[in-house]
Amino acid sequence: MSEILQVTDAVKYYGNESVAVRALAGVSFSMQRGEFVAVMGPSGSGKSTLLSVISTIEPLSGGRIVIAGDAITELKDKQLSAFRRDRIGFIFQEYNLLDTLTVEENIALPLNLRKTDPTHIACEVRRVSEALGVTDQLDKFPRELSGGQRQRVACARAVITSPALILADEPTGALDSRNSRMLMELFCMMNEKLGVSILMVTHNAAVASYADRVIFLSDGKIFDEIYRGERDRKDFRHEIVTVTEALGGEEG
Amino acid sequence: MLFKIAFRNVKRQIGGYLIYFITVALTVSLLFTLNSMIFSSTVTLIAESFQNEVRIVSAFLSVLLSIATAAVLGYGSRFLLRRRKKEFGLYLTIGMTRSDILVIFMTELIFTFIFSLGAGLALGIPVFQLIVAGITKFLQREFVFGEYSVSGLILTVIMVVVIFLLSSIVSMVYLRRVTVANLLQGEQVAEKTVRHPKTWFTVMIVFFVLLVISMAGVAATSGDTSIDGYALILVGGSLIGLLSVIMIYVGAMKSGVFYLLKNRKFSARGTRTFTLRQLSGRLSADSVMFGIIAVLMSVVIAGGSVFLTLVWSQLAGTQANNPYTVSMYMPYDSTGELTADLPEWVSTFGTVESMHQYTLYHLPGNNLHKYINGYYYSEDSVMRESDYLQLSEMIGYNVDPAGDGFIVLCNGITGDDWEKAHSTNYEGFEIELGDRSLPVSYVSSVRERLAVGGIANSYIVVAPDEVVDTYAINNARALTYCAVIYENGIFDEQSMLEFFNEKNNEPEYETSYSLAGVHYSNFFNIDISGMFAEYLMQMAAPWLWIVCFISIVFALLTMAVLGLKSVTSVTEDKRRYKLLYFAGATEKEVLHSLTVQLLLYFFLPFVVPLLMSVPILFICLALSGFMGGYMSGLQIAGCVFLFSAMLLVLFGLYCAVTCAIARTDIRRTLRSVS
Repeated sequence: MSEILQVTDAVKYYGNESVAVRALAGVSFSMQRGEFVAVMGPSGSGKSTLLSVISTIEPLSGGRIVIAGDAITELKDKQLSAFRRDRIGFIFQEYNLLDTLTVEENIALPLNLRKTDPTHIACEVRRVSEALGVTDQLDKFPRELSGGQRQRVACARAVITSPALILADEPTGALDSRNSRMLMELFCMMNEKLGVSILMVTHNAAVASYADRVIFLSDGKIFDEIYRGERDRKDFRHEIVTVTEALGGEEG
Repeated sequence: MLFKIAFRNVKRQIGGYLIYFITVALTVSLLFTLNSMIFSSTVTLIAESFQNEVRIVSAFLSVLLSIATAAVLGYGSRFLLRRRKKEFGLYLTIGMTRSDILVIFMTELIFTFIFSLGAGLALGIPVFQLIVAGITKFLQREFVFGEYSVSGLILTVIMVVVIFLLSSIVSMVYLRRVTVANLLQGEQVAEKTVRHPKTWFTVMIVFFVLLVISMAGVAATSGDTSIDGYALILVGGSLIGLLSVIMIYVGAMKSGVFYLLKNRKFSARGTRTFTLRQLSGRLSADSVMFGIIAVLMSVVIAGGSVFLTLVWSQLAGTQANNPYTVSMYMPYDSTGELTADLPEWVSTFGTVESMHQYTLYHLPGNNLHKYINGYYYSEDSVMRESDYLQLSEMIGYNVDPAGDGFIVLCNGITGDDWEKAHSTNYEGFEIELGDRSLPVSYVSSVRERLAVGGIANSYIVVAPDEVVDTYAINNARALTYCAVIYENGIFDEQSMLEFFNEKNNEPEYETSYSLAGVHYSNFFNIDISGMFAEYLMQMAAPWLWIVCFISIVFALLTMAVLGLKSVTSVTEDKRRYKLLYFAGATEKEVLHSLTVQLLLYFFLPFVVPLLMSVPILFICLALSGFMGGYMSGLQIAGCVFLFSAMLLVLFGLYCAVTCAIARTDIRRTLRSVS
């Protein structure tokens, strides 16, 4: 397996010269292609900031990030937009679906922006919607769907461009436990069957237990890192809870 | 503290208040101009005969403008409030009372009004001079400097205060009633799915066909009162046309976007789906408003163009009917004694460029008129060829002699006479003059009316001098005419009128006389070309003023509503633009989508009125033809273009400002997340 993501000594400051807050204090880790990694940590530990800098939404204050061979810290504004569009898929807690577009249009949007041939777009939308089980909802608007269905549509939109990496920010945050479980099973399916690499931020141990690896952040640094290996989910979850308690933190 | 917040808010919200500011400033400048018209002594100088009318019209327009502006700003302030709902909700949650928020918002509005008042007055000073210059130019007077009046200024300030108070009522009611939850969460506007797009598309097509038929009917009957049911076709056709415009908009707005979205090849490209979906709900919801705006704009373009065509046709007709500076007629004097002094008298009032005295003789039978028109309603008369050549030369025509026949000179005032004279086949037709019978040599190309008054009528027979001389010996009914052209048209008009009035009272010149049974009241009858035109223009000026003014005000206020509505909706849609950006659209693509939406939103109501310019042009051409056809197609197109261009400029101004505000707002939003 090759490396899909390489974060080296990532530093991020917020604020100005007089008052600066350090959100990331030299984070380094890497991710293999097809890997499913969860990031956990208490509030203010820097998990969301880490996701923002990897997704190119926030610039780094120091360090280097390489995604699928491209050093994003060296890309210019225009290249960043194209990179975001072509190489990264986003899944947010609030689904972030455009309420004015139908499900089909929401899923197709990234390909439209790429100016892909309409016939190819139709094929891709059909393929992805079948894989994620939203074929029946294509003509509906997001407001007509349940939370779980909306998150499925968000997943479909994230994978339609076959991105190198999918970044998920608290994807189950707005879902009940049943829908959360179903979404995680979907993530596993995307990871295993579609070969998608996923980096997910969560504060929920049960959700994190679906990942291959969990990285724990504290005060902007990596506190610990655990692998699931051959263990079953229950054991892995148990270990996640133990590390979380050691962090003195919150577990949802 | 509240005032400090308000002042900072105005500075921070400058974009949101810009449209408000421009509208109030432009309104103030117009109010100041109108109120100066009411009180300024300049009006007396430029429109002495109609000064009262100009003052009454200005006062009426001033009140109308104030009420309309107050209504629009009241409506517009709703959008300003909606734009800042969350901010006001936050104020309430941190312990401010509704009254505190009302004070903040009102203080912000007062600041905006004060700035706008200053800017509006500063703009009003040159605008008033421009209007005065425009009126003096229209009345062909020398430029006079418009005198400003303190009363006009005070009235303007009072009116602005009234506008402020009236427009504030809406904000007060809103802030008193709105709930905290509503302020914090915002009103969830559900996107409505378009229903029955096929039906709406059919509605659009049906009403488009109706519009074409009704406009063709109106254009065909314009000016032709001989058509059966003339008034019914004109009024009915216009009403059907206007209703059709509304229904075309409703049909197009409710189906157009649907079909564009259905066309995947078109919509699945870049941000088009997003743009179309954004427009879909808004256009569907605002379709009736768009239709009404389009109707009113069509009325502005049609009303203005028809009015200008009528005035200019009348003016051009007046000038063509009075080609000489002065035209006079008096009893026939075969000895020449009565009029021997005329050249000397005439020269005392100005520098005479050219002058010619001639005689017109009545031609019994009126055969020429009967032959051309098929019936008789006006008498024929005859003039000497040498007189015709000289009179034509005086006004710049180089005409051919009569040869062995006679020339048909169309001396009528309607284009109908001219058309008929030129389209008649004169083969085999002859006129008897004494013992001679002459065929037609040609129809004169002189369009102007050479002889005015007395026995001069629709058609004049121009015959060789010797033929007329022979005929004249036995013909008792005749009048002597005199055409005078003064250098640059300048002469002492008043002195001339007084002089000839006195002459008419002298015993030597009878005050009344009869010739061949026809009674004439004066010896010297004078027609002064400029007097007709001036009277006509003075009469038209107040109406032209109303038409232009209402057009500008209407466009101004419409644009203000569209602008405020657009800016507010952009604020409400910020999250969508952010999501589009997250989905991979570049900043340029997001801003492009926004600009396209705004341009379409602003210019869609303008599309049909612009297309309506074509039938309006044909209607004006038909009217001009009926009024003598003195205006060229280019001049009429200019009239139509003038009103369309005026609206387009205002649209462009507001659209540019709205685009600038909205783009800055969204650009800032996108940059705050990256």
